Amino acid sequence: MLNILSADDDDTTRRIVKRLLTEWGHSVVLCEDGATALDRLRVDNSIDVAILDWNMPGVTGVDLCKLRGEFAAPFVYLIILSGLIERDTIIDALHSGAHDVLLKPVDAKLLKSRLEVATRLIEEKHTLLEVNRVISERADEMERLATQRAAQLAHADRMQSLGVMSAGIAHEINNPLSFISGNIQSVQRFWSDLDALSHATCADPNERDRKLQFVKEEIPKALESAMNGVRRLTTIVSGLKRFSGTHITDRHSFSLDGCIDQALEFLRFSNLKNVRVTRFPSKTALEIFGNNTEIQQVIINIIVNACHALSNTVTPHIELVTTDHGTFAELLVGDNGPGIPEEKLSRIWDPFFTTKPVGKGTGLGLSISLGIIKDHGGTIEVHNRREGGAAFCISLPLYKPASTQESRQ
Amino acid sequence: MNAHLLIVDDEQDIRDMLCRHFRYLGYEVATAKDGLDALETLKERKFDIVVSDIAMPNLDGTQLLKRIRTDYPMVRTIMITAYVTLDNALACIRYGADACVFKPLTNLEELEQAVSASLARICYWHGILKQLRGLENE
Repeated sequence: MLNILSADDDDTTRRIVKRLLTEWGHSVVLCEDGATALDRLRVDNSIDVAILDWNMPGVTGVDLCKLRGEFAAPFVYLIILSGLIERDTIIDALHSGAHDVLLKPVDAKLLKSRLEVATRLIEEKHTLLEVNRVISERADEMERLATQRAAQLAHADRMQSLGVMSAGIAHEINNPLSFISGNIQSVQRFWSDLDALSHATCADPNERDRKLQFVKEEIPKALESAMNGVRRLTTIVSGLKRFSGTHITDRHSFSLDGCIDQALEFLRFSNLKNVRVTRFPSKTALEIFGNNTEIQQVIINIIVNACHALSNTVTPHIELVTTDHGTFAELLVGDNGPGIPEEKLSRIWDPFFTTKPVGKGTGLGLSISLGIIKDHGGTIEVHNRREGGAAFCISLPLYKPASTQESRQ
Repeated sequence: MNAHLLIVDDEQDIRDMLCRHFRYLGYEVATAKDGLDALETLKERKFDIVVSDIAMPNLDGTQLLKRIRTDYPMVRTIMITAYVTLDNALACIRYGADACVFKPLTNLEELEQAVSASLARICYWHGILKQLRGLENE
């Protein structure tokens, strides 16, 4: 059952066509001329076939074929009816976009078989559209999964970094806990003695006075120190929370040298324990706009890799140099290890590429680091140093707030 | 008690806290910020007991322990550490530390008892030496 539009300026033809089509079980839309047909075809996307008289005043059947790009329906089977058919007529009609040319007056059987062709084509078209839709949906699903996986991988990498950093973190947390707890215990001791000290007749009045004086001076200091410890722990905890969050989105301005120093602090007691570290910070303050935690993750990844490379080096040494280049900042991390084999240099950025034995390292770190640096508008590259060992070079655009730029002009 | 304690830790707040606590108890307390600083201080004055952290820059606790064992054999040592590793424990045993107390120091009494125990050991050996000198004089 097709929905067929018939356009003919001749009333008789219209009635004949309508009768035939209705008899065959199709639904019919009649138009008196090309213009009406065009208007209808432009808005009605349910029309499957259009039977168009060639010779109509104004917009002809062939004109309509040429304008099929404006039809609402994606595919309309176009039949031209013409009183005169020669070889050239057929060529012109087909060339303009018609699927078929029939001689008027219409031969019913011929028209019916042409409509069967139209039906087949339209069914095939619908099948293709359906397949397309299903494929499209699958592609969207794949893309959604890929984005999700990428986020999960980045999170897993951060979790692994966290494992690597945890020795340093334990130290960072244990020390404040020690002096918070210790100071409170001291004050508890002072307090329990205070009662005895203030009214008992003590055997040694000098000792009593010493203690009273001591307690008076030291209680405020002990409590203040404990509070400082609490503040330090709060900072560490909020830093950890941000680091382990599954989606890090906020951006802010931060100091590159500060970020590097904190990364070094975390690794001081684990990977960097037996490594000599020399640091050449920049003379000017290097402000970066981005996510401090993500950049720190990159720096940690690179340092951890360097430490692994140095595992068989007798006097392991890592140097970190930051330089101000005006519009961008550069960080160089160099080691005195064996360097990276030339054939592997271009592949180290590939996800899952790793030179570590099975089970050690996922090979994710550098590909994720590359992604993070790119997101920050920077570049990262690696090369082997002339003096031996590898060097990673990160460039990041420096943050110049608008007011500074204007004042420069 | 008047025993002399040297507290060695790279964390200022921990040095202050331990100093405060043990001064109140009547000990003479000095502090040092790392192994090298500790060795300098040991050269200048006499100490009975050194309470030291293990993880420190310049010269760590294990290295300090080794040096005290050779250079100041009469000084008793107590290690405080956050690192519960086999290497650290073995080093404490190998270089003759009297005790190893783990951070965080949630129970200072443990450290107080370790210090008292070390002091008792010192008194014991002083007693022996006194006896031997007494015997020699006869």
